[in-house]
Amino acid sequence: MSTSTLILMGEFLASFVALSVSFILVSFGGMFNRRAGLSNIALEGIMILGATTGIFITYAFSSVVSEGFPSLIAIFVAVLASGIIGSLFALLNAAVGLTFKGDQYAAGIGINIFGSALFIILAYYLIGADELSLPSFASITAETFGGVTQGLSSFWDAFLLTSFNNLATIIALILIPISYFILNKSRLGFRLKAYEDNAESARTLGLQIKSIQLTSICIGGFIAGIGGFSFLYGLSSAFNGQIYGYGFLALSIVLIGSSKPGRILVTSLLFAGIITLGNYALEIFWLPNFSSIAEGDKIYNLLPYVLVLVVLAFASKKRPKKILKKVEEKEDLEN
Amino acid sequence: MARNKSQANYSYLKDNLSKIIKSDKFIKFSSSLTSVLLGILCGFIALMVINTANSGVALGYIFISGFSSSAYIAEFIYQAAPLVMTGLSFAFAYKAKLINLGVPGQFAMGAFVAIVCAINGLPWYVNIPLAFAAGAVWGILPGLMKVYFNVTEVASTIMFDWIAVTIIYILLNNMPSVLNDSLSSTIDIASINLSGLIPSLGLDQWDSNFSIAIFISIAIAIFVYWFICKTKLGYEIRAYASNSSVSKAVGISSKKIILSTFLIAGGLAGIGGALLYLSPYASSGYELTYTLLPNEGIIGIAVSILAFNNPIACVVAALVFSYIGVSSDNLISLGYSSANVTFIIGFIIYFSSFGILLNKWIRYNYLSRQIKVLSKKISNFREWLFELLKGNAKPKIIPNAYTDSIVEVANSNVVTFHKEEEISTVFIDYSDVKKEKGKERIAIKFSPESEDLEDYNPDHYANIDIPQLKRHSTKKKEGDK
Repeated sequence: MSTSTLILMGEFLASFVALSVSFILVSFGGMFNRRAGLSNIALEGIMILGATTGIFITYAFSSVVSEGFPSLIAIFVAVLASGIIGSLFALLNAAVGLTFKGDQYAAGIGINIFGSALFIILAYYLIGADELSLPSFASITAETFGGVTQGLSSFWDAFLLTSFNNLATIIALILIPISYFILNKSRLGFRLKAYEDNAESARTLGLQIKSIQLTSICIGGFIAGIGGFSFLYGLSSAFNGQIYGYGFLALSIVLIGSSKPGRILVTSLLFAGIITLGNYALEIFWLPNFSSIAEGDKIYNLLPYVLVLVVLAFASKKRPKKILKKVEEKEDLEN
Repeated sequence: MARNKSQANYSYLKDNLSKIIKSDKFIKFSSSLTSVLLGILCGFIALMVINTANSGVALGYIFISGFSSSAYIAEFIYQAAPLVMTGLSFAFAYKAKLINLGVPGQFAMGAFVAIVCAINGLPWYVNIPLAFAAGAVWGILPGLMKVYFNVTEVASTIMFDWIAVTIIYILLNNMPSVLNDSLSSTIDIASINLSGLIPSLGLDQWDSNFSIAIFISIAIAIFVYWFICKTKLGYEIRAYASNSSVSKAVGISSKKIILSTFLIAGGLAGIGGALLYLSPYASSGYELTYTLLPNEGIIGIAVSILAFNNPIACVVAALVFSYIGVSSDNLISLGYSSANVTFIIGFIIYFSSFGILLNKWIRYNYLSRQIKVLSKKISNFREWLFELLKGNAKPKIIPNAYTDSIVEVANSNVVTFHKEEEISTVFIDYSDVKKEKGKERIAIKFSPESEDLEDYNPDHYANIDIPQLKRHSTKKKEGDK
């Protein structure tokens, strides 16, 4: 194969990694929320708020970094802040939904609208534009470690340099085993499972249900916020405060994966793969490019949504809906 | 006599007032109002952060400037009509406990069909039913998926939104006759087919932008209210929402309920699309985009939430939102961005979910009960503190069968009592302290012979309230063990 094809393959794989990382992080966050009994439709808003926090903090650091401040620390602070904002808003949603027994859907929709509005207003006030892209130092390249960046010359260059330019990729690689450990091996995980299984008996045994729920929601919001920040790296255009329903896509992934980390991982990879294929469709010769229709390439934009609907249709039919049922029962009781 | 009469009048008034205050509607209304005001307050704080000098004027603009000219009044009434419809769409679905996040998609579908039909020469009274049909078709798809594939509507409706927006983008790009010269939006319908626009029936004498759209939407709101409260299907929908398994047992088909609810909800949102674009005001047309959902759809969800899903209240909530939106447009002249509007509306929506919380609080008198408990605690503490300062903090004796025999309470540790013509003194064993709500009390044994008995006989004990200060003796005892 020619070098250009190999580089294209490398870029394809890299954007696949970027997309799947944000899917994995956000849907893992959603999983933690859902296990705590919060059917989190604020996931989209939390993604937007995480991305907003991250992008503005990297902007705040950009002048300091140009004077020699280590950029890695700046990125780390941005990631941390986006996680904290994410958990804050997840807790706000939980406060309405779980603690005060209000309408968690209303609160979630409120957070979603609030998130995109916050981005637009901050962007207008601080920068005077309605869209923003990440500053160049936010990507980890050879320059970050004092080297010199060269052009993409081979498959490995294209793959590794572009897919590991994001701190979130590394965080995701660490977080996947950690969340598996939290769920299946740690005390918190067992208590969560006990709570899911039978909330009343868990309460009778003296488990602090509220604190278990809130810890889980905090963890979930943190991970989802970081996922929102990492979504910026996969964007081809500047960020305008829109996530295009990817938060709801992640919510569907949680539903399809029935809140199990392994299944969620597989589903996220599947979705990310097919969506990336759609993004690169015009450069892949064996896919139709619909050139006879005006704006025909936008047909590939439909791909993720149609795919989610089809997979949800297959997955929902057979799935034993234990967790979902629990959530619904809880809601019935509350109402 | 007179005094009694006035007292009776007063108590009658008080009873009625408390009835009104405790009524469901009043609580809902007050919590919605509170959430709007809280939202505006938060928006005001945001305005202060952005530009402190102009924030006071800006707040005044938000409250007043919508009424400053007939053009503004016409605009906010025009913008309220589609919001009423999208709000009704979400509210109607919520009556069956279905969450219709597909309002933006159904709205866009209705708008698309209405615009294309109007440009092709159809009159408005045909366009609106066609928009209803388009929205209904787009609304019933998630319903079908829920009924036949058990797909939750929370996830699927959003997907249908983005599918609708993208499909409309592609379709409109392939209809160059419908688009304007720069291919960025649809052409002005008024320039092609005046009969396609909703008539003003003489209202344009007051302001040229008036049309009967708002009256259509109010009529539909009343119809929806009648439909839910008075018809058989409406009754079945409410029954399904309150308990789906019982309604199934009674013979109400859940399939029928879900499908008809989504059909009507989608159709209502579709009419919203027609009302927005088939108006003389809408000269800009439908903007071609696949990266944004129509704002009216999203705000419609907020309208419904704020209105507690009541069709009539939806009209008021929509007017409030569009009023805030239009009067916030004036903020741009003060150096703020148009995004402030979205921001404040976001705040209001978020606080409207708190409105439900406020509602619950008020309903269960939670706040007043908490305040009562707190004030009681404070007064108890104050009394005890006075006693302590005087140097005679003593246990309070709670009367029971044996309290008569108590002779003297020397201090909080020593009690002397009278038992079978003997006077004996006991030291209180603080390890026995039992916690009751807000009180700490101790049970003293009075009959020495029952000392060995394991079981607790309340007749052999006297309950004594103890001051909390002496807790350290308890700790000592535990330490000794």
